[in-house]
Amino acid sequence: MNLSLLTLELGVIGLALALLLIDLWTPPALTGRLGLAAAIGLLLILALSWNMSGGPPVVGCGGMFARDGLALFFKRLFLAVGVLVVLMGVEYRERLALGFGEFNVILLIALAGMMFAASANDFVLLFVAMELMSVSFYVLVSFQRSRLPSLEAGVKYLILSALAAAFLVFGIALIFGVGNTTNFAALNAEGVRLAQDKLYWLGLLMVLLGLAFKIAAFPLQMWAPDVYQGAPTPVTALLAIGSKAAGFVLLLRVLFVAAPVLAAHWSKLLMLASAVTILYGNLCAIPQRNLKRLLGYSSIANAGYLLLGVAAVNASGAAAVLYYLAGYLFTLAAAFLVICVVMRDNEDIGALAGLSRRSPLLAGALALAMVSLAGVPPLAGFLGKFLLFRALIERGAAESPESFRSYWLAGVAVIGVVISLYYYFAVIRVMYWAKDPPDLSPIIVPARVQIPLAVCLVAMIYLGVMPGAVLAGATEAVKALKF
Amino acid sequence: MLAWTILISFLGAAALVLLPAESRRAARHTALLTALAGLACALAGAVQYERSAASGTPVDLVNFSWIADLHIHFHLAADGVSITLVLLTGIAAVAGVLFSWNIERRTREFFALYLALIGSVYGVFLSFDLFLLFVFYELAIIPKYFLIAVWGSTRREYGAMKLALYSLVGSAMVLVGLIAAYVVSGAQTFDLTELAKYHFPAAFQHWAFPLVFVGFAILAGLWPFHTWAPTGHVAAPTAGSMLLAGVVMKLGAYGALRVAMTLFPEGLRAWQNEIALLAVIGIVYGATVALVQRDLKFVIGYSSVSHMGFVLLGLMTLSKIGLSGAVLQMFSHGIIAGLLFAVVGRMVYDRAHTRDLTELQPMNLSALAPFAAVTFVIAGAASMGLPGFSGFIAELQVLAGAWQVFPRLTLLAGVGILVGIAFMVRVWIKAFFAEGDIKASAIPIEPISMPERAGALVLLGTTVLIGLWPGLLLNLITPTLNSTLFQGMVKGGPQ
Amino acid sequence: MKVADYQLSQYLPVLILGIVAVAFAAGTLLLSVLVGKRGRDSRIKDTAYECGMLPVGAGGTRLSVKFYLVAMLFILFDIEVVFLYPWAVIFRSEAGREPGVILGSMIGFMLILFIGYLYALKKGAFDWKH
Repeated sequence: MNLSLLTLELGVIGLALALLLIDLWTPPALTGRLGLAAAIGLLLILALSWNMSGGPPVVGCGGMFARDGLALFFKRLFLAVGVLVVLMGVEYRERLALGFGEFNVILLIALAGMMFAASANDFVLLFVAMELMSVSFYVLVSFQRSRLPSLEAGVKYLILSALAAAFLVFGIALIFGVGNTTNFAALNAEGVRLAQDKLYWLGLLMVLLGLAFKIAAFPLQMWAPDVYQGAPTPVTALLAIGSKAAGFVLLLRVLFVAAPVLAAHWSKLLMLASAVTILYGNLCAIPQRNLKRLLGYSSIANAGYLLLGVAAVNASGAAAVLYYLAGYLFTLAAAFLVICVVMRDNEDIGALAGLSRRSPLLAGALALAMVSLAGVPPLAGFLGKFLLFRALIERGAAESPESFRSYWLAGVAVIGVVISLYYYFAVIRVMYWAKDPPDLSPIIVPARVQIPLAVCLVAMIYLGVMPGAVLAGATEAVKALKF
Repeated sequence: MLAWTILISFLGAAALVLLPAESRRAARHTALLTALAGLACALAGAVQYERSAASGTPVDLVNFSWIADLHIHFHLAADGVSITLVLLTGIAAVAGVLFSWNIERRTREFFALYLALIGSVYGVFLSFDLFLLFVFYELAIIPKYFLIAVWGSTRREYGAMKLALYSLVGSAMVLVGLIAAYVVSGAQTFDLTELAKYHFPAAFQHWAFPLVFVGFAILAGLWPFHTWAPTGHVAAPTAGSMLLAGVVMKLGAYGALRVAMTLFPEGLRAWQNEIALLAVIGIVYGATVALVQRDLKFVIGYSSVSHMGFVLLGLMTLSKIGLSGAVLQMFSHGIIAGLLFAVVGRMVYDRAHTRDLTELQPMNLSALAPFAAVTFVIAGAASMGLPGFSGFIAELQVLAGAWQVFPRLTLLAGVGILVGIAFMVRVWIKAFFAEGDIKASAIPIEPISMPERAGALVLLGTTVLIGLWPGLLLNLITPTLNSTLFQGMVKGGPQ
Repeated sequence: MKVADYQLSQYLPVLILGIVAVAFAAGTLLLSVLVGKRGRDSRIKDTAYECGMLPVGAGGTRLSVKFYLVAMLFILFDIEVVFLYPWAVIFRSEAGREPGVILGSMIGFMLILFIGYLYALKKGAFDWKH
């Protein structure tokens, strides 16, 4: 066993434990500093991750834990989310009633769960990592225990997550029963033989269902809007970005490390799920008035877009998923930062009225985020969608290039994108020219929000205009997968 | 030289954003200077191109690798067709600024968005990498939407959203087609000249062509996807309508020609008749509906649908004369429609506060605002296609080309022209020359300002200049249609 | 021997255990009827035994949150023992192969629990007065 493999995870857990202890002896007035300390700690760990890049892929801890490009890509993603969400938490502090120290600690532990998920090379680690996330989220979602929507969201998340975990465990049990191992590499080695067994298929299907919950994709997408709306905003951000990304890295690993033999057969199934998810998310988002709920539906739609890349079952599809997630991270983080600052007790879109005059920075940031989510160039969201479509069309062309039928899913996805423009632009419209905004008092944006917001905006534009470096990173990262 | 047009416009937009919010005068002057600089670059580029030995072949302006992994290049180039449209954009941009001189609300933001739109349009016309072209094409949607939704009039939010959704549906169709071409060709490139060399399988072209063509043509007002155009034009502020009709509709037609028709000649031939039919329906339908409108802007809006039908009909002839007529009609309609919208939106509506023909009737506008009346009469005459104006040469070429291919449809289109004359005469009489009951002095009316006169003269001058001396543009367009890029398209069609 | 038979035969001891358990329970009941003296019965005596609580009454009786707190802490440290036993059983064999891992992992585990203990202590979870 090589502990150096786990440096980043141990770093995050150590940070969490240290914060827990320090918090015990910190006077309540100073706990805000702890949040900043957590952000700085995460930044240091993020910096440390560059020290680990390169080198051949290593599998350690009894074959359970893989350290490869894919894992590292996602870990950086998670750490970046972590920094942004912790800073968001500092802004959100006085609305949390009590337990801000614990809030940070649990956030970090959820983050550690995601990072373990990025490296999972065994169904046991997959399950443990997922539970580490889920259990942390049960607490986080219902953290505002005097606020009913938060509690309601917590209960919903608990019950549905438990259901998903049941699917997952059942699937893992079937796989273990047939394959006699839970190790991804070992399962892959036996792939052709195992594919003969229908129970193995059923087991993997159950696992996929369990993961569909995490990424909020059809058929287990129902929870997202309720939970997103009820949870404290930083937690919503972590759910929307981190938890979804963790679901996707697990999906990629299960499909393309453990069962590449079956994955090729499931392209159609995944396409179907993706099409339904896209249409469901986008159509349901249209009438929403609560911004967090709207983002919940939008997150379902985005899970659908991301599934396109998985359904493409090729390297460019997986790379597109990674790229899209990177862009999605900064886009959504910007949106949630603005929500955190502006929507203190009213999350109705109408509360944004006049934001362009109250704070041009916040209005501009949210507008850019919406435009990026709508997939309009030159922002990250556009290039991400472009890459996903390209991968999908490559897949179609590989089957039969001349017939339009091989591209139907691209058509559905594109319709989804068009629908989404309607509700994203509605948000912008309210900010810039709502009639008679009730409140025009200027909003003072503290530096701890300005800086991460600026980072998000720069990253959104950078990823849209100069995609070269990150795209190369994503392409390199997916070499860990087999197609 | 030409590439500067894009950069200057975006720099102008950026400069406006940095100006203090209160400085309206500075904002106007910055916008005018930027537009003029863009026009100067366009003119210089055109002269330079004509003097060079290019003779119709595209000349590279900028070409460097942008996204290396995807083989996407930042490739700007120009040939006669693109230069014609760049010139149109330059002129329309200057005139639009002049006619927006009276915008008092959020002046700075208005002109920033305006220049961003102009910059994107320049970008579309000059891109020879299809990815880049698409990026500029989509980039134009945002300022378009905001210009209408913030500064527009009648049902502005509806009009803006309708336009944005139509544009996005179109561009989504285009995107699917483009990526499919990128993947299927196996060349892994978006470069137009490279892709045009590749022979796509016939079955592929049969669906890819209508997908991409219609995707672009939605923005060109192809019937029955034209419905955004009247509502959009009516909702937009004056400069917005001028740009929509003058330039944005040309984006669609240009894309249809440059991308869909160039890449998929076989698909083109398969769908030629159907699209020509739609184009002619558009001509007749647009003119007929314009005949019964009460809102003056709706009249012009539907007339745009009719005139853009000529562009699409010209494209479908696949003959050199028809194609050059189509390109010339793009230019001509851009100028004339811009002028008509300027008179209606700025000179009439901003003063009379109504565009309703029955309400305008008693006002006796020809006495109140003689300059407006004269301008409108001349512009209307140009729009009818009277000799001496640019529209005459363009429509003549289109019809001559179409006569060889679709004789019956051409007759129908001729009917459309007649109806076009009818609605214009109706507007003349009702809006300007009716016998009014109200005394001219009864309504206090602000005199036609200097910027308005200047803008009107620029546009009028252009249409007369091209009408009298079409060679100026035809010398640019005709050699280009002989170049290899258009060969595949023209060769197959009947000459 | 077929695989299926072999697999089933593995469960023979379980079957025997089941039989013995049922036989023991039934036997004791039978024995007490046969040998035992019948005492006086009353309502109270006939009610089910429920850890000293009244089995009949409102279901949602309110308990001090301390009960739950203590119960949770008990479970936490109980689990610790659950892990310690099997660890102790394999310690000797594992120590021969990778001594650092087997010792280190338990120390890490205990450390985390210890921090938890400190947290509970400092938060006053063991303080009965409040």
